[in-house]
Formats: sequence, structure tokens, C-alpha cells
Amino acid sequence: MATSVSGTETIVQRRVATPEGGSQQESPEKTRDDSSSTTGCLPRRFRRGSDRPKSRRPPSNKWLQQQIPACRPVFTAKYVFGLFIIVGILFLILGIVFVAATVGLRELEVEYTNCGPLETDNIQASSCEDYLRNISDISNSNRRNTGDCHCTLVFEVKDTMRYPWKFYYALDNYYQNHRRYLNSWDPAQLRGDNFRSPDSNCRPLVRYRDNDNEMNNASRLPIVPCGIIANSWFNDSFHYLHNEELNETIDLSRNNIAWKTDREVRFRNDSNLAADLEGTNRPPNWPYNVSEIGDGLGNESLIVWFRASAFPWFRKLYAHPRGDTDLRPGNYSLLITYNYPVDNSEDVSPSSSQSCPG
Amino acid sequence: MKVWVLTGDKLETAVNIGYASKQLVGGMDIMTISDQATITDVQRKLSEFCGRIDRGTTERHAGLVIDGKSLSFALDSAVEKDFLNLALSCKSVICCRVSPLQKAEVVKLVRTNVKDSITLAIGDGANDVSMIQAAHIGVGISGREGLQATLASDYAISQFRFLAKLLLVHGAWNYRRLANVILYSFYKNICLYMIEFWFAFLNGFSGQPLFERWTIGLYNILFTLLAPIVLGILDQDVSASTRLAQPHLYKTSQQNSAFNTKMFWKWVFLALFHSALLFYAVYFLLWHETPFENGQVFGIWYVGNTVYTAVVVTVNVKAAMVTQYWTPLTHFAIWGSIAAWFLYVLVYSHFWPTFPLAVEFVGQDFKLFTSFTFYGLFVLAPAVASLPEFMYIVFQKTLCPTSIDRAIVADVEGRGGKMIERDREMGLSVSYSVSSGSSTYGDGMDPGETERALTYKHGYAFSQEDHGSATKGTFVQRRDLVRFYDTQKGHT
Repeated sequence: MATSVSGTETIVQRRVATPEGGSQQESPEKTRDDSSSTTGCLPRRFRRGSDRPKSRRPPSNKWLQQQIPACRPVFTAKYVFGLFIIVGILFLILGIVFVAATVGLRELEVEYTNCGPLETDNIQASSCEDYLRNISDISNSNRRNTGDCHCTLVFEVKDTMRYPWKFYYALDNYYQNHRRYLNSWDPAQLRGDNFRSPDSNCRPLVRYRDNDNEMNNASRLPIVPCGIIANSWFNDSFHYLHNEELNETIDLSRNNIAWKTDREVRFRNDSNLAADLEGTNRPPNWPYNVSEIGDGLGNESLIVWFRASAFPWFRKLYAHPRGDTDLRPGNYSLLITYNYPVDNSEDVSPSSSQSCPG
Repeated sequence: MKVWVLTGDKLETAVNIGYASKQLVGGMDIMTISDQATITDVQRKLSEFCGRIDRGTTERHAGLVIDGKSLSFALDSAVEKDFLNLALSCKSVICCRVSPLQKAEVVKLVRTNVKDSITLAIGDGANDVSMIQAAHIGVGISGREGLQATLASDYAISQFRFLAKLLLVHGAWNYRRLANVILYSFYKNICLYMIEFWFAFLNGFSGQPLFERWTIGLYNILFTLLAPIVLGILDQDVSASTRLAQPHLYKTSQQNSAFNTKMFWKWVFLALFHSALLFYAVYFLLWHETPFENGQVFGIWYVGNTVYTAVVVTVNVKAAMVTQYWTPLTHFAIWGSIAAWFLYVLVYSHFWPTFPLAVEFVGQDFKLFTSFTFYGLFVLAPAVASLPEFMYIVFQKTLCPTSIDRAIVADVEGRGGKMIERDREMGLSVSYSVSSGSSTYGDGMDPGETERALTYKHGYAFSQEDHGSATKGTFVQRRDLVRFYDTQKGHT
């Protein structure tokens, strides 16, 4: 008895095969029906309709018989060969596209941790880094003076960086991806909803009072924006790039450096901020209130800082160059206001980026 | 696989049934132990038969018939080991006039004394219940004598002949499916969570996960849920008809080939390799946070989502490589899971601030889906991760295919039912060697065991007369007539 299942010819040598093909095939099996004894010895086909015992056959269809139409892959070489060729060609094309897109990318990284010479007359220190360290040793307050220490960084650009090129600052050995650092913020506050009661995630930077010698929590004012991420906001400034030989000065524009969705959804940017900030304090390291910086909570530099990095070394976009100029080869000097004390390294990196940065 | 018959019928009936079902064949040396009065008689008989075996009767030619009274002596603790040795040296054993308790005792004897044995007991009446429960696998036949056997059994079938399909098809399929589901579940979870381990080296071991918390939570519920379900319910390696036609394929599931220590560590190692590869591939590609077209940088959540995408795709592609039977549901499960992740990103990025959830995800959909790097990684990372294993599979199936691989190819090419000569010989040759890797006692079924049987194809009739018709010429004894009837060939 041969059965045919989805085109496969099978020669079943033993009679033990159960009916295959589901309900299509008339099964020769006899339903052992105990009730048949009452209707006598008449064969089933001769019994009248009402005497015919009900079939106890369970339902059977393609799903229950596990014969859903399917295809079986074969992994031997002759079947797979074509697939390999096709995928290989596709990936080759992909690779060529990647390489072509990145071949023109240029990057320049210059370290400025110990930048000098200092441009400020009344500071006697070898570098701004030393100066900042000494200051925090002397004063009780955490407040740092800003704008005190300027230095000039001179570097050489070897290859032209075509427009559009971007200006980044990079920090090394800075664990923005540490769990407690990352959790220490209040997103509702940044949106403008929750000034008075900052999230406890921001501990210990939830409330603060200047010159606080008492452990009196009630007299402390809530911090806006609270948390370590805000408190550690990068506040070095880079002013312009000057090229002596070409007598060119490139200004830096700080617009459009943050994600559009961040600017629109996550961070509040309205002019009523100063009034709403009554009864709150600024983070300990900040010399000014958040209402005093451009765009308030929607300050793009702040937003960029809040986009915490995944790795302990990272770059953040500082500025675009103003104007359409390329960065031509030559010696450039960069004026830096050095406010951010670090024990590790800070870099500055102008880099070009094109449609497919990689 | 050895088949023993334990029946309550008398000896002659049992022997006739044995001939009818090809347990005993003409030309076999039938060793009968019946009506023994004392235990010493039984012992004597056993040593006599053991001597016969030692002197050269091969297994194929030895059959043992023992009745209930002698069996009660043979199951005595002094004698049972000899009895077992003799029984295991015979091709088949028929016990007649056995009480239900003795049935269970015979099963327990084999179960406890034969190392790595798996016993199956099948019966249809209330007297079989103890036997069914004593065996590893109890199969009950529903119907004629009621439902007691089925109520006590692990598997219930409606006719005895379905046992073959139960074992050869469903048993083998379910073994493979179960092994795949278990191993795959370990694999997919190790793959994802080891990435947190690799990331720990970069986040100062602070315990910061790379992925957002609900994304992690939904991994097993949304993105990799359907793949093991489909592997466990729908997957078939060799089709049912081929498995029935080539019973020697059953041997692989007897030998623990799909689920053993080596396989487990293979999958775990693969999971570790994949997790390391996917994390570090994304890491090296994105380590300077090479920004987007407009220069903006991305942060930890973007990197996390990229890695997560690669993981979801890789893990589902692995399921695709394991599946041998692609139904429309399988396609939906595997490709649908990947699509579900994309849908999830799309929807979840807009939760905040309407819901107080997923503030990290705001803007992720836009940045991910407009980034060429993301799409490149989405295609490349799983491909690179899967490639070594794919190459290994192709080489293995082309250069040294197992019998299952050959059967699959035969299925696809439409010649699954015919016996493949080489496999038959291999099946035969393996069956008679005591292989150390074998974990169940016994040999596989012999596909070609018919040659010694007599080829008479008569109908049969039982008559009260023992000597047949008294006509001139030959007469055939009733018992010989019965034995000519072969239940395994189709009627003509």
C-alpha cells in the first residue's frame, strides 16, 4: 500500500503505517466500536443510517498530523554554493561602499590638558590645570571662578579638512557610563516639571546651600538641575581658531550640536525659567544659575553633555565652524578658557565628517 | 532494541503468537523452560541453555520461552542474574502464563540490572498496569478491555500498530525537538547577558547595563519567544514516512546524540563567542562614537540598541540554522521576531513623556533608522557571527554526513522511502558490535530479517484436530500452518 505525501513516493514495506494524508484517504482501520454489538452482525455498509455507529475517529487535519506544507533546507555543498556566491558578492559591494565612504575622513586630535602659555597675566602657574587645583585647595567653596585662566593651544593641520568639518572635545578615562553617574539625574526636572522636589536618584546632590556648615537638610534648597551629570558639566570654552600665515580666524558656532528630539522633547527651553527657579539653587560646581545661561535648560551644550557616553573615552560635539570654510593646512592657534579640572586627559579634535562617517 | 512478550496465555498460544508476529522464526533454537518444579531444576535448565549459547548459538537464532511457574523461580534473587544473562543473549523472549506482578518484576529486572537501559511496556488491560508503571515508558492501548491501561500509562494509543510510529517518528522527533529547545534557551540567554559582562570591563564594573531595563526584560517575552516554541512544536528533521521506512535512523536518538555534555558545552561556547563578537564588533566600530552626518554624537543607549539589534538578529538566525522544517509559522516566528524588535523601537521611542517610562529611548528610533552604520551592522554582525558555524555545518554535511543527514537529503530529493543499501548495511553492522558509546542496551532493528523465515503464504485455519486432514499425502501440523502466517507482509 503506497501512500503519497506531498509528492514523495514512499514504499511502505510494513503495514504499520498509520493513515497519512489526513482526511483525504479512506482509512482501512476499523473503529472498535463497542456499541456495534447491539446492532447485530450486519456489516457496516448495510446498516441503515440511524443504526450506523458514530465514528470515534479523532479529528485529523494537516496541522494535527504534522504535515503542514513546508520546505526543508539542505546544507550540503551543492545546494549552498549558489547562496554563498550571491551573499559574497553582496557583501563585497557593501564593503566597497563602506570603504569608499570612509576613505576621505580625516581626524586630528590634539591634547591640551597642560596647555600653555597662559594668556592671563595675573596668574602664576605653569598651566591652568595647576591653577585650578590650587584654587580648590584654598577656598572652602566648591564654586570655581570661571573665565580666569586662558591658554593658547598651537597645533598644525597637515591635510585639508573639507567643509563640513566639526569641532569636538574629547575626554579620556572619564566614566560617564558608571551606573551611579548615569542614574544621577532627574529627567522630569530637565523637562521643567519638577523643580521643587528633585528625584532621589540625584543623591547626594539634591539640595544645597552655599557655605553650609550645618547638617540641616531643611534649610537647603533644591538643586536645579540636580545630580552628578549636571554638576560635572564640561565648561571649558574654545573661542576661535587663528591661522597666522593665512591671516584667517575661524569662529565656532554652537548651534545645532544636540539631537533635535532632545531639544524638543527632553529639555525645556523657555523664557519663564528665572521666575520658576525661585527657591532653588544651582549645582555646587556651577557659578551661575541655569537661567543665566543661554537657552536655560535647553542649552545645547548642556544637552550634549547629558547624552552620556558608552565608553570611558569619548568625544562630544562642541561646535560647527561658522561659515563655509575648509580647514586648510597650517599652524593654528586656539584660545581656550580652561575651567574644567581633570586628572586625566582632555583633547580637542577637529574632524571632518561626511555622509557616511565610519 | 529487544522485544519481549509477556502474556497470560498458555504456552502454545504464546508460541503461536510469537511465530505470527515474527518474534520467533523457523530455524531458531527455541529454548523452553516450562513446568519446572523446583528452583534447582530451573537453574539446571538455565545453565544448559547458557552452555548452548556459549557453544555457538548466535543471538539471531536463540529464542527463550518460559512460563509463569518457572519464571517465579527464575526471578529469585539467586537465579535472576543467570536468567537475565540468558534472556539478553536471545533475540526474543516469550513469557507465558505470567501474572501481573511477574510482568512488573521482569521489567524491573531489566531496568535495574541492565546499565543505561530504557524499558518500554505496552499493554491493553488492567493486568498490564503494574508492568506499565514499572517501565521507563508505559504505553497503554485503549479500547477492547477498557481504559485502565491508558489511565496508568505515559502514552496512550488506540491500536498496537501505532507503537511503531510512536517510537520511530514521534519519539525521535520529540527527542530532537526537546534537545534543541533546551540548548537554544541556554544559548540565547547566555548570548545576551554575557554582553553585560564584556561591558563591565568598560564601565568600571559598576553594574551599569548596556541596554534599557525593559528592553532586557522583554527579550525573552517578545523577541526570542517564538523561535524556541516553533523549534519545539513544528520542527522535523526526517519526514515521518522515511523514518518508518528506515528504522535504523532511530539509533541516533538512542545514543544521546542530540543532547549530551559535549553538545551542551558546544552551544555554551558558541553563545560566548557570539556575545564577545557582537559586543566587540560594535565597540570597535563605534568606539570613538563616530558621529552621524551632522556631527552629533550618540551615547550609551544608541550603542546599546545597536548591540541589542545585532543580538536579536544573530540569535534568530541561529534558530533558523537549526530548523530543518520551514513552515509558514516558522517564517513568521523567526523573521517576525526581528521585525518585532524594529516595531518595538519605533513605538517605545515615543513613550516618554506620555508615560513615565523610557526616557532613554526618546529619539532612538530616528537616530537608529537613519544611520547607515546601524544598517550595516545589522546585516554584517550576524553574518560574521553565523559564518563559522555555517561553514562547519556545510563541511560536515557534505564530507561526513551522518545517516540522518543522508536521510534528509533523500527526503528532499524524494527518495526517502526506499532503503538505501549502504545505510542498511551500516545499520546491520553497528547492531552486532558492542559499541562503548552506546547508552542503551541492544541493537537497532534489523531491516532485513526476513530471509530465514519460510515463505509460505497460506491462509490459516484452526481445527480441533491436531493432525490436520487425514487425506493421503502430506499433512501439515496445525502449529506449522500457523507459523507460516506472516503478519508483517501484506495480504494478497
